[in-house]
Amino acid sequence: MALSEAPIGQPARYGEVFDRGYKHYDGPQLGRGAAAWALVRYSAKRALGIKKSWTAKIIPILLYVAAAFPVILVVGITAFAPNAEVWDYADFFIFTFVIEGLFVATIAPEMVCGDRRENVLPLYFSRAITRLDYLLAKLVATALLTLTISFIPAFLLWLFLQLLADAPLSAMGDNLDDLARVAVAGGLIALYLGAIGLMISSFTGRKSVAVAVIVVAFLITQALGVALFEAVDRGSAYHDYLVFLSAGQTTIGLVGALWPDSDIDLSELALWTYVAVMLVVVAICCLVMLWRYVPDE
Amino acid sequence: MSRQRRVFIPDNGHVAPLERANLPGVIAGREPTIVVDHVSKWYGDVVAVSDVSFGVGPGVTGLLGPNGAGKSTILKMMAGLLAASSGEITILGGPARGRPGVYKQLGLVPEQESVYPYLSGREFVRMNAILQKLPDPAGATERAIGLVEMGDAANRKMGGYSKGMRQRIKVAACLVHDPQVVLMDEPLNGTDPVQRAGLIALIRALGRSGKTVLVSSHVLVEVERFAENIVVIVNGKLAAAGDFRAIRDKIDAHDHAVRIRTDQPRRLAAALIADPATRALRFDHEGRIVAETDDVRAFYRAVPAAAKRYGIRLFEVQPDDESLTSVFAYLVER
Amino acid sequence: MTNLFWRTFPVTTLTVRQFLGGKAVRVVVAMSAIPCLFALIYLINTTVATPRDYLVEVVFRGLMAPTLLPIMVLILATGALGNEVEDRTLPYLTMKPMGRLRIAFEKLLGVLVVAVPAVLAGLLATYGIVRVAASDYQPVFRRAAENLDLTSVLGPMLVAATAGVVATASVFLFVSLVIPRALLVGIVYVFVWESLLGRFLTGIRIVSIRHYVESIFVDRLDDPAYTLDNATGLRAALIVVVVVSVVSVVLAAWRLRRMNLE
Repeated sequence: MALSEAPIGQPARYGEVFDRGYKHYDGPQLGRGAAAWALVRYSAKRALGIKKSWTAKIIPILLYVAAAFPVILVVGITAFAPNAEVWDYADFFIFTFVIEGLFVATIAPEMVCGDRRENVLPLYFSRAITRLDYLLAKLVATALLTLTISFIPAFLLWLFLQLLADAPLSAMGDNLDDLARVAVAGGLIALYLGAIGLMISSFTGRKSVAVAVIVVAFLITQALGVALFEAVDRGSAYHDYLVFLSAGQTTIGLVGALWPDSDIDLSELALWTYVAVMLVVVAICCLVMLWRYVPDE
Repeated sequence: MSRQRRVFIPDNGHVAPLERANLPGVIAGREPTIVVDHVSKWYGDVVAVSDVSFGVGPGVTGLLGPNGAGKSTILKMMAGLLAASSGEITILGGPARGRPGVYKQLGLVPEQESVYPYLSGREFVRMNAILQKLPDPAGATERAIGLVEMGDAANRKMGGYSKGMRQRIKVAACLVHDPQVVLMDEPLNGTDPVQRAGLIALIRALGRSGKTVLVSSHVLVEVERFAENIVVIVNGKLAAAGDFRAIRDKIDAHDHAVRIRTDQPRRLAAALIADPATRALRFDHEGRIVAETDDVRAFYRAVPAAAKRYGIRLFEVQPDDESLTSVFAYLVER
Repeated sequence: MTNLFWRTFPVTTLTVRQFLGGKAVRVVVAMSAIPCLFALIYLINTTVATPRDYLVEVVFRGLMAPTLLPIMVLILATGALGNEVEDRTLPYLTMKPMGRLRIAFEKLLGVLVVAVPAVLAGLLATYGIVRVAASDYQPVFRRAAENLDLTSVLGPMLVAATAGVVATASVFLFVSLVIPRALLVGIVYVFVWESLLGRFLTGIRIVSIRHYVESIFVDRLDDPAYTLDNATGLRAALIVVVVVSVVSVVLAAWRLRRMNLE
């Protein structure tokens, strides 16, 4: 509270700053890395609706339930009928792609739209964080969250299937290659979808518009991709590359290349092509976002 | 004017039962246009407004209080936008909520700056005129825009308006149907001195013409310029209601308690007890000095003088938070 | 002319201006062009289906009814009142001597004024392109008497789409007053409820707008080649659409009366 009439403390001199009980911070200054990591954790919490009303939490929870459902189903069937024909990992990833897409559409706008709408970006950028730090923090937060739905359910599936085997420990050892594939698929998908979702979200301050555009983009490119895939002659040289027109086709193609024994027959492209193209898409999304966060003047 | 003015200052924690004839804030013998009757509003565990009762009659009344005191909540409940958790608000003889007809006689300048950025100022005011079902919306629009002197900018999109222009176009929209009761939530925020003078003149003119005008503000010197009657809200409770000067006199007659945090409390206490402005001194559990005084102005001069003389550092000097004095000191010193 | 709009339907005019001033309408217009893209792809290779099949199965029942139409309408319907709540401008409308039913109805009208032309224009343009493709179509499916008539598809498409726009718009106008993330909820409804679950649990279709849209379409088309399981009759479907819309508008008005505006 202010005092108006006379200066306090030091001998009066014009232009003095008075100590009015401000709390000074004397603790350690952790710097950019810690600030960015704090932003990662904060963004992730907000996107999941932690410490917000139940309406903000309900959709992430529903999507987690939806992702857990096939795990329980497959494990359950395998437990009672070990020889039954159930989903392999490829089928699993194809099914969960829809959930991953909706999940990214839920969290990515939550990550960046509010900051733009409420005009708090200058506050961030006048602190220890640079524009690049901000974007990387948001990308890491998005990718980490998406991992919980693109990797963890698949990992649990792998784990439970090994535990159901006659000799769980040796089964784990034998199937380590499957685990590696699950990790590659989950990680790449999280990064790839997250970057696309964030890039789209960076164009608007309205979360709802961003959600709609992300969903529509995933969906329509998927439908267009499939339509073009069928319309173009299979023998032509560029036919196989049409998978990259849509996130869904790319993901299915990647899964097909990781598990060559599955019945996915999309293209003849090698695994490294998928990895390279997906990483390039991530890089392009980052560049577009950087451009979106260039100061106006 | 030699009207008898009544002043109401509630005791701490004591709630007087509401009597219509004896309503805080209403001049004796006058009929209040707005009656706030034991109104509370809470959000979950947070109490925003706590058992407030007062009345507002014709003329300009200032609704005064620090930021976050509950002024906006009270205005929104009056405007029928929020439902009170308990209690009742009556405007022009009926409840404000669930009675759209009342809006023919009621206007609100909302606190938020947001307007329709894609409309021009003129279109916005005209829309309000049309929604009010006025017979001559175009004429009413021009009149209202003239009142706030926005003629030059009225054809521009509101998205490009400055804060002061937004405030003024909101006032024009609120006044377009010439309502009997006008509620304004911090209308002077974001205005420059010239715009402020214009708005204050407009508010005074509205009051003189017999309308009931309730204007909220957290800046006392502003309120002084347009309102003689004030209602003071602190922490969601009614702190004072009545004539501005009468309230100030009453408070000055009250004891004042001031808390002082310093590096040498005993030495400062010794110096202060010798000062005629100090009536009593004690230490609180944090080692701060709690001084009581009858003459707060003299005391506020004595403290730094003593500190300077004996080379004592002062970390904090503030009025006791619980008291009305502190609010007033806060409001006055802004 | 604008004056006339303002004076007769002020809230509708405001809503249309709101849409035209924002980004949402660009997304909607872009989406209405999407079926045209599919028609263009069909131009490349017409061997995948007969033109009539393509229009019925791919464009309308594959793309428009299940996905594009609901999302286009969702974007507009949840924005019409939702944005006013979010921007805290709703008091400018509710603090007027005007029935809440009128506000709700005019808002719905504002959504329809933008959504119906957008959806119908997309369908018409797509129809035009498929017609061009049909002109040099060589029958490859040796089905007995392949039906190549396109004109008879257009009417049912437009009627069913209009019914779908009206029903979806009214329902989500109301939902946007109850739930803050109405668009996301709507999208989950469209994909999880109508598409995913609707495929497995046929009972769900009774409470799915898409089911009635397709029922109307199939009934008007009246072609044994295109059917719908458990299709509702035309009259019943239309009654459902009208009742759902009226009830939603009434609920929205009720909600406007009850809600607290911060």
